[in-house]
Amino acid sequence: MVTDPNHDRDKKVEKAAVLLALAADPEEAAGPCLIAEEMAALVDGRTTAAASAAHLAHFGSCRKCYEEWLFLKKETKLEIRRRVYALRRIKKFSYIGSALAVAASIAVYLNVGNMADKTLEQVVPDTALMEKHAVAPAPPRQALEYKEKDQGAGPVARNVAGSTAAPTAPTILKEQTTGRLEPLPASPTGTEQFRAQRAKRLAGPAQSEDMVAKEAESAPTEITAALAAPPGATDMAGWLVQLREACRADRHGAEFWAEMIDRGERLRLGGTTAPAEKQRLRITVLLALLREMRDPVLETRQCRLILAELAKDGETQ
Amino acid sequence: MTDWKERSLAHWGKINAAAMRRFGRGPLAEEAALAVIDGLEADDWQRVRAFQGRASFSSFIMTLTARLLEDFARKRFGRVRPPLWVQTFGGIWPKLFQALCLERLPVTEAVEVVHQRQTLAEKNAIETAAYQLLARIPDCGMARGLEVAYEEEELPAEIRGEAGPASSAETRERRELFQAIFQLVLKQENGEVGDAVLDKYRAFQITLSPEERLLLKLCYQDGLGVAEAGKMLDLTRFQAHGRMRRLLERLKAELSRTGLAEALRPLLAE
Repeated sequence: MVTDPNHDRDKKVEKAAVLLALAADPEEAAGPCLIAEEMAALVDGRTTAAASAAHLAHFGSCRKCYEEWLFLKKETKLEIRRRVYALRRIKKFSYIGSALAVAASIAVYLNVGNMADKTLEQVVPDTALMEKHAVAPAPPRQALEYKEKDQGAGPVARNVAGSTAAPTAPTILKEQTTGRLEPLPASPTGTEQFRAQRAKRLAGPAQSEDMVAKEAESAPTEITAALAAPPGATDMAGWLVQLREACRADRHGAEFWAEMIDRGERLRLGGTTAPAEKQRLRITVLLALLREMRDPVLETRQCRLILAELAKDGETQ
Repeated sequence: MTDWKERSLAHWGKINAAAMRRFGRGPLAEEAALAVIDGLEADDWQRVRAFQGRASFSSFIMTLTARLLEDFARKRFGRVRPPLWVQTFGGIWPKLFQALCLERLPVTEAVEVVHQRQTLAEKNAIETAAYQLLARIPDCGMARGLEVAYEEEELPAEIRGEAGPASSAETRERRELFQAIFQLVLKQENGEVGDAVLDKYRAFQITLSPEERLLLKLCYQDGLGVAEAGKMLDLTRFQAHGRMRRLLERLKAELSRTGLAEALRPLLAE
């Protein structure tokens, strides 16, 4: 701020003149000193105008009363300031309610988002389990091996054709390709119909062509080819797709990975032809990586390795 | 029946705060607060019993507190009349004189105490004033060990500022006043004034009404604005400014009439 030097000088000269005048004017006490209650009443503003003027006139000449009056005036002012400050604080606190409400809304919103993710993640294995229990218990691994030797076809293929073995890959694939879940039939008859429809959809040329055309735009080439391939290969592709998506999502529990290992084992045991041998090798490698996923801390690292493995042949980006 | 003890002790917090503002945050403030309670309790709460309800009880207690705190200070440190220039400057100066020369507080503590008492003044300004006061009163705080009640008649002449006959003491005080005004207010290096100026000053006669005097004290000693000072005197800002203007014109006229303005002009010219 720029100050006028002449103005400052005038002010100083003015103050000097006033001080000289105050020193020259003899202080003659105007009236007696105030008693305590008179002083208190003056500070409170409870005196009459005449009494107030008389008291103030006294302060002009009595230094002691003047100092006391100033002291009390300042105390009163400080007290008022304290009260105003307290009221301001109360006013400030009133905003805390609104702030808490906003915070709670945000928290609920964020949690709802997370809950939706979790729900989607949990639906896949649950559906598979539901299907398993609704149809029949899964056969033991030894029995599957025995059947493999006898019939020369994988359990997956038999399952799609309507056998009692119940791997869950088709269900999951359906969910991923269609983007929604279909209710499972309650009765065994209904189950048979449902399986027949689903097998038709998956194996039928018109449906397969449609899906392949859609998937060809985004999915890896091997998986696309697998979708158009025989049912056993389709299960393999479904497993690979789910494995890739699961690793990308990176939020699964031990139960989910156990389920994946179980399915991978079944797929590995199912393949016999030359391409199946190649696939079996891949599955073996992937299963080895999956088995290391015991600790949740290792999940991210193992998923990276799995994704790298899947990307080797250009299946994933 | 009113329980005066209970009513009085309900204000203990305020009494304590006032003591701390008067004596700083230390054992002295606690002692002073206890002395206030003792004073209130004396003669079966006689001082408090005098309350007739013409003011709020809180203000009444605070008034008694202010008086008892000053009584405590006087009993503890005695009473000394400050030099004329300190009295004339008013505001922070008598308080600094009290804190440094009577209560013998270190400068930093004295500055803190005066800052608490004189909320309008800035701390830096108070500190500067403290060193200026110490430089102008070399005997400040020298009379140590006099922690008993004493009156100004008992004080050494150096502290009282009365080294010789009354007239010479008066002349010396006025010379000191001019010197202080020139050096501290006008910021002039040389504040020495001759006898001619002092003679003219003796002829300077201005009669101020108590209200005018109060207005000048509030504005030029305690540093309040004219409007704020007017508010304390139940005047509107226009009334206050009008009075101040007329007062300053009268003052100017009187300075011209006595020739004091002419005598001081060469000293003011740089």
